[in-house]
This record gives sequence, C-alpha cells and structure tokens, in this order.
Amino acid sequence: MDLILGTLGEIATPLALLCMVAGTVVGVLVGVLPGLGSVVGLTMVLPFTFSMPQVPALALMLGVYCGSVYGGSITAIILNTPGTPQSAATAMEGFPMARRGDADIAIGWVTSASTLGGLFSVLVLMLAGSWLAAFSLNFTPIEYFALGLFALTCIAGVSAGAMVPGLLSGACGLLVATIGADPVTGDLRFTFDSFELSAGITLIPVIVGLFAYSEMFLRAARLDPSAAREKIRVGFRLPPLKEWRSRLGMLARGSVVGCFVGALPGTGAATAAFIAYSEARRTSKRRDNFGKGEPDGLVACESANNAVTGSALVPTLALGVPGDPVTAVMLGALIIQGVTPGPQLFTQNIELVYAIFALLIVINLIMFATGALGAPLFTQVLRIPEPLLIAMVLIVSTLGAYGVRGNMLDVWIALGAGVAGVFMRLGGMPVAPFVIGMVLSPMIEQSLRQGLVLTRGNFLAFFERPIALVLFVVTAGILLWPLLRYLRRARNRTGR
Amino acid sequence: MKTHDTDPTAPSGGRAIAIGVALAILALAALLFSQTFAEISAFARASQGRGPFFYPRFILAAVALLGLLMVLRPVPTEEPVPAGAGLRRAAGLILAVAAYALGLSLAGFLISSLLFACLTPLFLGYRRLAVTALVAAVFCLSVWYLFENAFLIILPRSPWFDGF
Repeated sequence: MDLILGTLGEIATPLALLCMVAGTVVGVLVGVLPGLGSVVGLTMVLPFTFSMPQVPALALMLGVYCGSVYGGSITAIILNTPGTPQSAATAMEGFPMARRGDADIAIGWVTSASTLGGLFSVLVLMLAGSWLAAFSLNFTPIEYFALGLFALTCIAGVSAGAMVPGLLSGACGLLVATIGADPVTGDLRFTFDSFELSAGITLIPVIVGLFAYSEMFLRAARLDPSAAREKIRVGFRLPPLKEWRSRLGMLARGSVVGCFVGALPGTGAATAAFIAYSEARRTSKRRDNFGKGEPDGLVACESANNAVTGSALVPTLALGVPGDPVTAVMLGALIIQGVTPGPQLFTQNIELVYAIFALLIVINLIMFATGALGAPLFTQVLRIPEPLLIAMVLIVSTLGAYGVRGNMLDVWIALGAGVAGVFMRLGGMPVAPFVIGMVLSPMIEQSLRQGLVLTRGNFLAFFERPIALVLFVVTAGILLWPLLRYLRRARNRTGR
Repeated sequence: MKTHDTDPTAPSGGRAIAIGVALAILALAALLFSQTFAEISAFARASQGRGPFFYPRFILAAVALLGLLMVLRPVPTEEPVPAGAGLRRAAGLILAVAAYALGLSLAGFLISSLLFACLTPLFLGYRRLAVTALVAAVFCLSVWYLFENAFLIILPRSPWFDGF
C-alpha cells in the first residue's frame, strides 16, 4: 500500500503531470506529420530530460512514445497518408470511412481502441513483465524466422479479392528491402555501384511515396473544380456502446498480438498492426466489409500497435535489451537518469517500475483526451480546398522523406514509389502488402541466414525447435485453411 | 469542390495497366537476377548462411512466378483510370513534384516550397490568388521553423541567402 501511495505521490507532482501532457501532445504532433516517427520525437525531447528528476523525465519520454504511435493514425484516416509505418494498416479501413463522411467516428474508434490497447499492455507489463522477458529469451534466429513467415501470411490476409497482385506486391517489398549491404556478410547487393544505395532503401520514403504521393496524384486526377463541396463531418464521435460490445473480442485479440509481438526484440508496432489486421480480416464476422471501412480492422490494428508501447518496454526494462531504435533511445534516457535496466531493476528499484506502470496508465488516458479534444482541429484539414491541401501534403511528405537521413536520394525514391504506387493502384495491385514485405524482409532474411549458420546449413533442424514448429504449423494451417474449406465445400456439393 | 470517380476517367484501361505493371516488374526482376551473379567476398563464400544472393534469388523466383500469373490473369480494378484533363493534371503534378525536388537541391527549402505551394493550386484550378499566397507563406514559414528549430532537422539551404 505504501508503495502504491508513494508512486501516486511521485507522478501527481505538477512537473510530472505537465511532462505527461506536453509529451503526449508533442508525440501526437510528431506522429501526425508523415515521415517523423517515435525516434525523431524521442531524440527531440531527450535533451530536456537531462536536468529533470527521474519520474518527470520518464513521463516526458513515455508521453512522446505513446502519443507518436497514436498520432500517425490521424493522417492515415483523414488523408490516406500514414504518419508512421505502424499506421499503414489503419489507412486500409480508416480512409474509406473518412471518404464516406465518417472521419469523426473513425477517429473515435481509433482513439478508444488505442487507449484500451495501451492500457491492456500496461496490465500485461504489470502481471507478466518478467515472465515475458524470460520467454522472449527462448527466441533464437530460428524462432524469429518462423515468426517472420507467420507474419508474412498477413500479405494473403490483406490481399483478399486480389490474391496474385497482392502477393506480387508483397514479394516486391521483400525484394526492395534486400537492396544495399547484406546483413550477414556486408556484401553489396543491387546497388549498381551507387554509394547512396549501399545503405539500402529505407521504409519511410517508400511509405510516403506509395501512400501520400500516389493518393495526391490520384486526387489531382479526380479533382473537379466545378463541383460543389461535399458535406464533411468534422470532429470526434465515440462509437456507440452497442457497437463496441460486439468488438471486444477483436480488441482483446489485437491487444494480445501487440503484447506478444512487442515483447520480442526487433519486431515492432508495424508488424503487430499488420498481423492483428490480417487476423481480424480472417476471423471477423464482418469480413466482407473489410477494405470498405470496417471498424473491426481499425480496432484490431490500433489496439495492437498501441499494445506494443507497453510490452516493448519488457525486454528493455527486464533484460536491458532494446528491441528497436525507439526502445534504444528510451534505454539511453534511463541510463542517463542513473537507472540500470536489467533483472535487478524489478527487485532493487521496484518503486521506479511501479512509477512507469502508473505513468503509462495516466498517459494513455491523456492520449484519449488529446485525441478527443484535438480531433475537431485535425479533421478541419478536410475543409481546406483540395488544391491547397494537395500542395501542403506534398510539401510535408517530401520533408518527411528527406528528414529520415537528410538525403535527397530519399526524396527521389519517394517520388519513384509515388509514380509506381499510382500504376499499382490503377492496375489493381494493393500497396499495403509492399509495405508489409519491406517491414518483414530484414527480419526474415537475417534470421534465416543466422539460423542456417547455427544449424550448419541444415534447414530440417529448424523443425526441431518446439516454438518454431508451432509457428510453422500455424502458418501452414492459415495458408491451407482456405484450400481445405474449398475442398470441403466441393465434396459437400458432389455429395448432394 | 469535390472529387468524383466517373467523369474524367475510363475504367477500361485498368487491365492494360495491370499487364504493363507486371511486365515492368518482370523486366526489373530479370535485371536484378542478372546482378545475383556478381562477385561475392571470400567470407560470403565460406558462410554457411549461403551467401548474399541466396535469399534474393528465392524472392526473385516468387516475383517471376507471380508476375507471369498477373500477366496471364490480370485482376480487374475498381480504381478508375484517369483520362483527358484528369490524366493531364496527374501527370503535371508528378512533373511539378520532380521540379520541386530539383528546386530543393538548387534553391533550398523556403524558395522552392513557396513557389510550389503557390503554383500547384493554380495549376489544379484554384484561382483565389491572395488566399493561395497567404496560405503558402504562412504554411512554408511554419513548416520551416518547426523542422529547423523544433525537430532540429536541417533543411536544404539556398546558395544565395544565409540561414535559409
């Protein structure tokens, strides 16, 4: 009891509360702008934490982290331009909802699902943090390879109705991610002697091109200056409780996927969001509505990507192992604050661990308030005359592509991806699988190659590891299930 | 002002575009496949991980197979294909972005963005010049200030002025 009261006392100070609010608002703003993500936001506020006490410093960092993951979804819904890679799945359902005039309720779904997913992950962190950390240690490259293959089934999930073009798009994403230095030997691949390409093609310019540029080019093509303005509902509307009740299962599944994937080093929120979206598309009762603005898809991917925020801290806090660049910056901030992450943290500095739990809970609630109060402002974007909006989105997107590495090549890559995106969309080839391929390719290749080194080139040894075997079986099941269903239906028809 | 999905578009071109995209991908895959026979390091040759082109060759095989399937059976698209004025607007906007990217390198962020933000709406048919100029100035200056001073991302500079 003393511990809980002490924790509440520490986070209820004016400075800590101010840091939570400021961090969340800055995070949402950073997330909204295409190309800037959690890492930019965290590195931006890191210097401010140097002279702060521990708890307010963590409040600022965690606020930016949670806010940026949520913020990317707003532009995904309003403009079909995901602010961050983890919001790419959100655009698939959110933008069709905005297009039919329901941007306000789409933001309501996303805000509430993000908050609930985030709170769920704090609960998991509190109850199973150390267990999850120990479990994640069982993951060798072989398990990561199996997980990567499992995640690849998302491509099939998001390509329903256009399976061959979707798979081709995903394969192209896998291929583009191999450009640059080989992750195992360092040999250069497909660089055509270009020094700039030796660092590879990063994800952000491709996302900017495939989503933001191609959307703006197609909007320009469809523009009709003589037509009257459409009535657009701006603001924030919470979905009715009845609607929510039928989606609680979807929320739970998305949150569990987010917690599990987030706890594994090197995975991340984008992978979690795509897995959750694909699972929702496969299992939802309303699966026929997917792609046309189905809230099930929004609930699944938003609860998953926000559930990652809590669980990604599991290996960071419990093992001192940062899973991705975001948690690496968080780890740096903790070390600067004199905290030594690792197994001892949970025994020797339990007050700080509880403070982190409490901060995450309050930040998720602040995030909800920021979304609810800020949504009317964000959705005003839809009232801007379209030619002006197109110019503004293109400028910010170009800067997003440029800002990743301060490199003009990335702007040209974004433009190339934008033109390719136009042709892909006109040719019936979905662009989301391309992004899934690019996200997963480095993990799949690196783990496959490292696994082969570990097993001395014996691929069959991959099936001797229990966790990997389970993942392989589940992957095969998901891929074969539609075929089995088809065969069963055919047999029933012939039986009749 | 609103977008519409019918007038300046012709849905019949989608199939041809799908085949064209698939053929372009196949050509690119063939080019990349030829690159997989490039010289590799001695370390890569000795690696049990099967060398740097082991994984890309698998992907290239998948791309070739799927590309052929798409050429043989293109899926009809719901996205209407731009034609006439719509096509001209889209092509013009692509060229404008290319010019903007070039302008970023040559004239820096502020000058090229101001020009782009003023001329693009005009090109797209928005004729309220005073509103366009005001929005362009406020927007570009705000974005420049935010990126340079808050996000600490140094934007391309012009060769003629100090600071921007």
